[in-house]
This record gives sequence, C-alpha cells and structure tokens, in this order.
Amino acid sequence: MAGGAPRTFSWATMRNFTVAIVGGGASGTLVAAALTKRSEATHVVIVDPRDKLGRGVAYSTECPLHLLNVPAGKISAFPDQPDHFVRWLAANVAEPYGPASFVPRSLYGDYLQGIAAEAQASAPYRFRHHKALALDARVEADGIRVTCSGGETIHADALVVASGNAAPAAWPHVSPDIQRSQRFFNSAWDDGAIVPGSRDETVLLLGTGLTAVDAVLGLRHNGHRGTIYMVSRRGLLPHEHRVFDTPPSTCPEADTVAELLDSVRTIVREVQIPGGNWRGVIDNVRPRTNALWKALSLAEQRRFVRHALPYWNVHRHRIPPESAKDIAELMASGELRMLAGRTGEIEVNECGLRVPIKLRGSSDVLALDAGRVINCSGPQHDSRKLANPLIQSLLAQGLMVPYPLNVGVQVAENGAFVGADGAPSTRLFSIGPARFGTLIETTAIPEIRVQARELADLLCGAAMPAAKLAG
Amino acid sequence: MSLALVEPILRAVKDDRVTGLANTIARLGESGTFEDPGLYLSACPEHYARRLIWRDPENRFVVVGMTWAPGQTTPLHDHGGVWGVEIVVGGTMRETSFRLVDRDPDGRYRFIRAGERMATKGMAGVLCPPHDYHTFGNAGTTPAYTLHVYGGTMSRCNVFSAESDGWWRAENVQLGYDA
Repeated sequence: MAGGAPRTFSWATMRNFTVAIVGGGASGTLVAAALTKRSEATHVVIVDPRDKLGRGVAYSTECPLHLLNVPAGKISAFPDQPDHFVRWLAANVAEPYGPASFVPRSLYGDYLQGIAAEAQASAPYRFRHHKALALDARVEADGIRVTCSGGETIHADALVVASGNAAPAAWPHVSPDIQRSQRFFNSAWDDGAIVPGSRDETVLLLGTGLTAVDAVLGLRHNGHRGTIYMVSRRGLLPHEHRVFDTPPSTCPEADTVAELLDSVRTIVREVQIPGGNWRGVIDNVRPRTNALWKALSLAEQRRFVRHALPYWNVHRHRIPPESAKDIAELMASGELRMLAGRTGEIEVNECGLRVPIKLRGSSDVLALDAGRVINCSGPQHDSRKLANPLIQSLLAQGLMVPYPLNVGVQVAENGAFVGADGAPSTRLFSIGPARFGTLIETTAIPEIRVQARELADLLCGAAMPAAKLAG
Repeated sequence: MSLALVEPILRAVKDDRVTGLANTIARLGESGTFEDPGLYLSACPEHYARRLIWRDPENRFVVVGMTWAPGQTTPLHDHGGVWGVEIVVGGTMRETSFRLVDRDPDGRYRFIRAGERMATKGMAGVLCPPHDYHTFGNAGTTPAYTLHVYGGTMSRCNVFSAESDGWWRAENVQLGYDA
C-alpha cells in the first residue's frame, strides 16, 4: 500500500456537507443510502446518466435467465441485516424464493432501485440524482468541483467514484468495415448485442467467463437457435455452485504464488478425505483474499495475475446450478461449442464475419464463419485505457495513479485514492470495482456493502474520535 | 467397455464441471461411441431396464445404459445429490422437470412443474441438484435407449409419490441393475 496513514477529518460536525457520487449502480446507491441514513447533515448527489438508480450494468438485464451468482441469503444490501433481501423477496415477489435460491438479477435490480427510492424519499432535499455524465473533477481550496455533461457543475466536499465494472477492452483487429457490418458487438450489454439478427445465425462469443454464459442464455431466451461457439485462450468455463455443507477448513498462508497454490491444494486434499468439496475451501478463503493479496510482493502479484487469476476466477466466481444445467444441456447437444485458442484478424465477407482461431495445443487454424461476434472478454482492468473521461482527468492531474501492475488504481485502506504525491486524498474516494488492483476481491455485494458502511462512517466523521478532527 | 469411453469421462468427472462432462459426452456421442448395441439390454416388459456399463473403482462415477419400452417412465425422482448427464441414444424421450418449492416437517415435498420437453437422439438432460427433480420416459412407439453418467455411485435416490393434497411423499430407495 502506497502512502502513509490518511489524515482524519470530519465535515459532519462543522456544517452541512455534500458528497458527489459518480455512478448510480449498486456501489453508488449503497454508499448514497448509507450516507443519507448516517447523518442529517449529509447531502448526496449521484451523477449517472441512467434513468434508474441501483441497477448499473449488472442488474439492468431483464432476461429472467440471468441469475445472481450468489444465493439470496448472502446478498443483503446491509451488512447488519443479513436476511434483508430474503425478506424483501417474500414481501414483493410471488415466487417462493428462499435463502438458497439463485434469483434473477432483474429482481436484485428492483431491490436496489427500491433502496435508492427509499433513501431519496426519506431525505428528498438531501438526495439528488443528476442525470448526466461526470466529465471532470477539480480539487479546489474549499472542495471539489465536478463538471458534468450538459454543463452543470456540482460543488461537493467529497467525491466518491463508484464507476463499477468497466466495459470490455476494445477488441483488437476490428476495422471500420467490421464496425459497419453491425455484426460485431464490443460488449454483450450493448443495445441489441444478444438479440439475434436471424434465428439460425452462427454466433461467436469472444470469452468463456460469466459474461459469455450470460450471452448464451440471453441469446437462447431471445429466440436464437443457431450454433454458438465460445472461445478463450484456455477455454475455461466458470465452475458451478453445488449444494453442499461447507466444511470448516484452514486458510492458506503464503508469501509467494507457488506456496499459495501448494497450500490451497493441500487443504483441498485434506477436506476431500472426509467427503468435503474444494468449493468450501475457496469460500473459506474469501474473507481473507485481500489480506493474502496484499501479503504478496508486486512481482508475486504480477505472477498471480498472469498465471493464476484466470483459474482463481473460474473457481471463485461460480455459476448457479440452474445456469450450469442450461449451459451443459446446450453443450451436450452440440448447440454450444467450446474452443480454446487465440483469435486472429477478423474479416468481413458476404455471409458475415470470418474469424481465424489458432487452436490451443495444435498448429491448426480454424476459420469460423459467424453471423454475429460478441466481445465477452470481461471488464477492462487497465485504468489508463478506460473510456471514462472523469477517470482519465483524475489520472492526468495525478489525483489518481494506476496500480503498478496496470490493473486498476491505488487506493488507501479507507478507499481514498492515492495521488502521484503518494498521499491518500482527503476528498476523493472509491468504492467497489473502482478499488480493483489494490484489492482483488472488491466487485461483489458482500464487500461493497461493508465498504459503503465504512465510507459513510468515515465521511460523516463518526468513526473518528472528536479530538482528532481536522480540516 | 472401451477405455476410449472411460478415460475422457474420468477426466471430465475429475475436473468437476457438469458443463465439462456435457462437452465430453457431446463429443463421444458425435463419434458414435454410445451406439454400440452391446451397451444396452433388450427392453423388458415389466420396467425400464438398467445396465451398469462402468463403475469407477474409486466410486467417482458410473455409466449406466437404459432401455425403455414404449410408455415406460420413471416416477418423479431426484439423483441422491449427484450431478450428471443423460443423453438420448435412440428413440423419443419425454422429460418433465419439477422445481422444489417447499418441504414440510413430515418430510413431504411440494413441487411446481417447471417444464416438459421431448428429446431425441443426441439431446441431453443435465442434472445439477437441486435442479434434478424430474420424470423421464419413452414417449415414442419404439424402444428408446439412453446413456447416463453420474458423478458418484448414485446407489440410492428419492422417488416421490403424489398425495391427494398436492404434496409428494419421498421414499428413499436402493437402485439396482438388471445386468
């Protein structure tokens, strides 16, 4: 972690204070709700061009086959009310969902949207949604000035970047001809990406992770019946959740990636002797993932990102049994085909797009003709390449610096961005996926709801002894 | 039983992904591996016939061939918590899937009917508990053949009988083979 201990401060005891939150998805909504509730002196302005708060990219999908990959009992929005979401489901949804159910993400979007609406209704003068894109932010003597599309400027005492998961990195080899063909989509969440152009067209998905699984299920739900190919370098699909009792297991200890893998393998072997499952071991590691990550040197972290992260992801981020069943049935009947290999330069021809794929472990190159190609490669992690204008401005001003691995950015323990001077900001903070890099486990609700609570405590000053208050 | 069938299945079972097993089954199915008539018994008039094709010596999986006379069907059942893949090798099967919605203190179950589909050669059903409650039977006019791979021994499972009030009573049964 770069930088020393952050200076403590509290605006709340001095006067009304305003927090601008850039991004109104799950992270932005949870921190806004926590701030509104925490102190009556707090004003929040969420800057997000979307109409609806709470849903972000993850919970905007309307496809009923797009499920949460966490059971309902583990995804309450509030750390101190673990059954909050299950109770919400019982009160608002006719389907008999329980704590073990994997429910549609659209329902979770409704739930978060409800939390935003409730926070807004409880404090109508202190909670504002400004429908615009944040373009730039400047730190001034008396606060932060955020410039938005449409020309409005917001003055705030603190800024929280809740930008969520970024769109995938732009796919290489996409010429203007390919763009014009309207057969290539750089994200599965782009308008119309998973609505088939024709029922029987062949679709190629670039990626085999959670987004690719969503794309398959979405295409089928939207009436597609043609063959779907999915390709990634290693051809790794996510593992599936299983119903099992989590056995207690020890946590791995390690200073290097090699030791870490050895340690995890040993624990899994021990757990499996009495009939346990590796899934329980991974789940037990979960609360300590960030501590294990921070204990690695930069060189070891780089090694982890390069060699182990894809494997960690498919074991850690598992798909619900229902989705696994659907995907497996499509694979067993040959309607969905998995390829491991590297793709080359895409060509446009009269039938669609031709994608060369050099198959892993072979010198063969397969020329695949597809009517539609969708980039499902997962979020762009290199902060320097993000399309977000606010983040580019903060990087350019040195108010934010990339994490040394070019994965995410540097943040302090309390979520403050660390600037080029090495000091954590007292005004600029992050939540959720915006902390990726410094943290490796920061994109799921169980982490985000705690970060939201802690940020609210910090910004409202309650977590700080009164004697330590300073500007 | 040829190693050509067992080795790829063992690899997939060890990898512990139902999607991976499905992918393996698809490739084996396409190469005609399951069409050896020696894998299946003749239809039996009393009940569908189960033949144990392969039992892994370490009990990690079993491969079972089943033969269904027209009209023969299973009761509503689960798979003892085991995951697996069932593929139609010949004939026309009907699968009706159910979703568990409730259990009462007496061990009775309540389900809703989640879907019904016809499966012909090459089509597969996947069991991923708790999404594995179903009935499965021959809906055609000729014998049907199916091949089943389970990620465990699956020596016991629950079968359910409907009661008059919409609930189902479970009976845990030992599963046997006809040969």
